[in-house]
Amino acid sequence: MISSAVTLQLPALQVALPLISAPLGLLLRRHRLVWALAVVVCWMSLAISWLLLQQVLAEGTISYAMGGWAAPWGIEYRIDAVNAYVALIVTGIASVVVPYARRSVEQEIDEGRITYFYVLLLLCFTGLLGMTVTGDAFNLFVFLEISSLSTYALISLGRDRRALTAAFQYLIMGTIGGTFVLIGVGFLYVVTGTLNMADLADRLPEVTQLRTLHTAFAFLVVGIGLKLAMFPLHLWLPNAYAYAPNAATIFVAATSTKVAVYALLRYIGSVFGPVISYEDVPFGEIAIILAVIGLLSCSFVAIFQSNVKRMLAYSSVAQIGYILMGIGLASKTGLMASLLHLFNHALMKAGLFMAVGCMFYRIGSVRLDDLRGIGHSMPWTFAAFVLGGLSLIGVPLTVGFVSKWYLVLAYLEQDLWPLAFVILFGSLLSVIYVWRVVEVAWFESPSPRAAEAREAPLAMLVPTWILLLANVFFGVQTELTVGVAGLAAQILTEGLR
Amino acid sequence: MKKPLVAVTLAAAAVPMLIGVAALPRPGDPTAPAHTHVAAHYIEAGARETGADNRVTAVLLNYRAFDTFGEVLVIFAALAAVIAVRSPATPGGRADDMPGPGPGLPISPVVAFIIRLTAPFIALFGAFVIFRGHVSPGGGFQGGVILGALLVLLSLVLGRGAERPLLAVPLARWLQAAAPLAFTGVGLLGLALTGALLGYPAEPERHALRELMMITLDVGIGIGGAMIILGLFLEMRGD
Repeated sequence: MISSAVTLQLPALQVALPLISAPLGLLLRRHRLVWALAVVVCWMSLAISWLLLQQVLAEGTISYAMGGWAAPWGIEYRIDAVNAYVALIVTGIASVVVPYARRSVEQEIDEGRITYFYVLLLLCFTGLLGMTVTGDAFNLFVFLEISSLSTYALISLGRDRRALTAAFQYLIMGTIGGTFVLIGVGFLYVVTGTLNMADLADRLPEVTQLRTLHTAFAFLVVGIGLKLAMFPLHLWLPNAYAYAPNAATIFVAATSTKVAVYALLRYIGSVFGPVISYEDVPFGEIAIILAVIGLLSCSFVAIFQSNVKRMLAYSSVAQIGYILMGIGLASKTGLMASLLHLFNHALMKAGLFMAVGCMFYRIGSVRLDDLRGIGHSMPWTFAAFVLGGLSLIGVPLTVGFVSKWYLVLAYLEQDLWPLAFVILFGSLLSVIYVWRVVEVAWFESPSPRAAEAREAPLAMLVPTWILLLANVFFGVQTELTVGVAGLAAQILTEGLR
Repeated sequence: MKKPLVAVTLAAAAVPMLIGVAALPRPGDPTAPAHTHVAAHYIEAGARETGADNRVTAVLLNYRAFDTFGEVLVIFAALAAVIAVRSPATPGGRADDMPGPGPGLPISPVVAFIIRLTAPFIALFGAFVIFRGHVSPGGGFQGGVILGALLVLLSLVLGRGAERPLLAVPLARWLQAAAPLAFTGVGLLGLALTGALLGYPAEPERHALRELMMITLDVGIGIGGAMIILGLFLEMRGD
């Protein structure tokens, strides 16, 4: 009885729990307490999203009416396999990153600001979960604002003074993106009179002749494209990732762009549908062209970076290229590959940034020069980096292989073998930039800083290895991810009719 | 180099936008979808279903209350962001969170007198706007801004310096979080009474409770909004 009552509330609790805890965090004032609160909230959220996913797999779509107001009048929270899966990514990453963050944050952030760091992290977590779980177009915008605003502040807390300009740059770009999304939602409301996504999907076919609809689509895609760092709208990302505090970089890199990709998929698959997205507007072709250019150019730029965090940031833009290539194809296998890569890229990039964060913790730098010989003084940390690198390249038995396999398959299905070759060539480029780090860290004589370094503390090493072992686990045991991603792709393609 | 690029970018955004606007229904067209679907329901059934005589409040605190919850968190996030960026490096560093006159120009006695003279009227008007919110135009956000402006004015003439803030910092924190806290309380009460987060009891005999819940939200938004405006002002004035 009690458990069924709680089950009914899970969709609301998924967002309400972090939502309520963020202001409470500010009242606690002792930063250790705020950290403990954040850990508990993240773990509870993970449990909730796991239960929701099980429920969705067993019973189908869940709908929750906020405040008891039925769908088009009130705000609906609507959970299907697609967003249950994305919520699991966000909560899973948060559950590992927040425990890891304590030591890292205590070292990198001034003591008086640590409380605010966790409050902002909780706000960002709330925003991303809200965007994921909501079934309402305007509610998505509200949570987009919460996550963006807190992300700007998180980035600005970096120790490097350049973090401030990076945060400001992202603030400008992100605000433009948010405004575009709002304009898009506004147009949608004017032509349909509703904000509920399912209701929008029902009413849009009646007004397809209106040019306003195409304008709305364009504004939404560009606005969300800014948030997900779609090439060439990615310019804010490298500096933001490079200069943010390590814990913030890990969390934002692994979750924020993923949720933006989800929002794009949701609008294309569940709101606009195929006629507008792929036939009236050449979205698929544009996405693939931009994805390929972004993939190749950013992988290439990554090779020449001397700051490892910046290198990984460029690699992130390249990886988003893979995800967009799958979306551009509009086939079930393509969407499935994209969804798989959301999960898998979150795992590998979080793992890599965590390993880099461990190195920063000991030597205070992530420049390639200072990392010379680090593989000998921090063997466990560097082994983690290598494992993450292998996953990034897409070596079999890691998650990177799984998603690239399905992506290549999707392109071969359509006889687009030149593009399948591009995917493999991108992997080759990632071999080069990962190898550069390995070469420096293992085969060069230690830099003065690296020679003095000890292995990272267990409080950081254990979460790092949990994520990297997850890279291997989900690379071998593909049942959960492939199964859910397949189901989610099915739902989205059905939306595409 | 940069200027033509800016012009091209702006044109690229403006042209599709104008095309989109051109195809919109005529403003005020009663047959436009924006007036016939959800909005029509709000106008027709809003007062009856929500118990809020003002339709805007019916949407703001009832149908789309969760959006409002999100919006108060946006404002709260803005304050948290500003404090995080501007706060002192060590906890005991400097209590610059609360009222205190900057070392800037002294306030002219005329200005100080006018501020003191008008303060009670501004406060009364702010409270009026907040409390009338559920029956007439107004509400927590508008009233909160009025009160916030009053607090900013008062902090100019009444402040006692950064060392001795008017309100203790922990108390100020509670008041700054008033809006999310009010939503949390009312939301959970609604959950207990109706089984839906932010739900309101629908029974006619509970109408008073329903109004009280809405007023609590409005007061929370008002106090929280006012304190956040003051907080932003004090943090950003750069003394």
